[in-house]
Amino acid sequence: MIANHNVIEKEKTDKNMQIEGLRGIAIIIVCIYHLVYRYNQLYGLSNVELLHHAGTLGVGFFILISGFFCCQKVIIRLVTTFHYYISSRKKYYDYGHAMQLQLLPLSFF
Amino acid sequence: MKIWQLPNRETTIGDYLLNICFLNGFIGTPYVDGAHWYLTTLIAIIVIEALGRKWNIAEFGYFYYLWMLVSIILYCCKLKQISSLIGGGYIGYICIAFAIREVLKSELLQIKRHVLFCFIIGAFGILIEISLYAFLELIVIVPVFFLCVKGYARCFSNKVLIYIGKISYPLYLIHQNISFSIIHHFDYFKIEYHYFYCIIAFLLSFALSIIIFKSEKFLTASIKE
Repeated sequence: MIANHNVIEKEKTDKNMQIEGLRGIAIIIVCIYHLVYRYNQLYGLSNVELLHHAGTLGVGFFILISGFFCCQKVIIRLVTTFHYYISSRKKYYDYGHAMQLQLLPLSFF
Repeated sequence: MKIWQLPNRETTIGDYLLNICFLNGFIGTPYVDGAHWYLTTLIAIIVIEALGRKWNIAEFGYFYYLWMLVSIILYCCKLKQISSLIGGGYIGYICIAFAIREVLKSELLQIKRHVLFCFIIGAFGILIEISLYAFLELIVIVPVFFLCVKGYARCFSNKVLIYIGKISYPLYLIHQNISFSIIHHFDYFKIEYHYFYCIIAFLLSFALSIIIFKSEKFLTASIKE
């Protein structure tokens, strides 16, 4: 039973790691696009036309991953914190939650 | 030549302050950094989806395709600015993400009618609002993403790629202006080593992203304690 549980956990970790790897590929594509194509376009240098649409490919991966995974965590945190502030009477007295609200923009990252 | 001045990327202090508050996209102020539009899109998408979850409607397909339809209608009415405030064509990717999530929920990977419609309207939104190439790129993006989610794409389990993936967010936000400044200033002296400077610029932004990533980890750990 424990061995089974470990196998499931390992599979989950592998999947998450593959998504991280995909993000790695996406950021490399975006960086190559910006450094090689966008820079040349901005300063009127000769360009590699093949890279013209690489930016949307990288960003497409990013937003798809955000829509599938990352958003869920952030949204749960966002809704929970929002709920807390609406429903709780102690609102601004709790230092921990005040801190959490101030750091809310960080959770987007 | 002024030190670290980047032509075509100058801005006023007011615009700069609006940029660091991430407010510029919502009030039509130009972006200082070429990557900052992504923040406007992401914040808009997160806020709308959070509201959907608050009212318990984000679990249904109609929430996503109505969202996409509103954006397409606004875009067709030449209200592109307002359309981008709710996510623009990038809502298409969110619709597709929802469709994939729904397919994975069913054990036999069944595709229900509303899920298929959500996928189609998402792809259509990308075609209308972004570009034909972005639409065609879905042929690569969707299967690769699906394989990664299912855990079949073992080539993405590479340690280097995983680490780059972990620091991808700071790297995305900082690489552009830093790299452009470095390349521009090196190019000022000698143009023939342009691609060599690109590599140096990328490595420097990579190092800076690692510092930011580690600082963020340290900060989060300190807050948790």
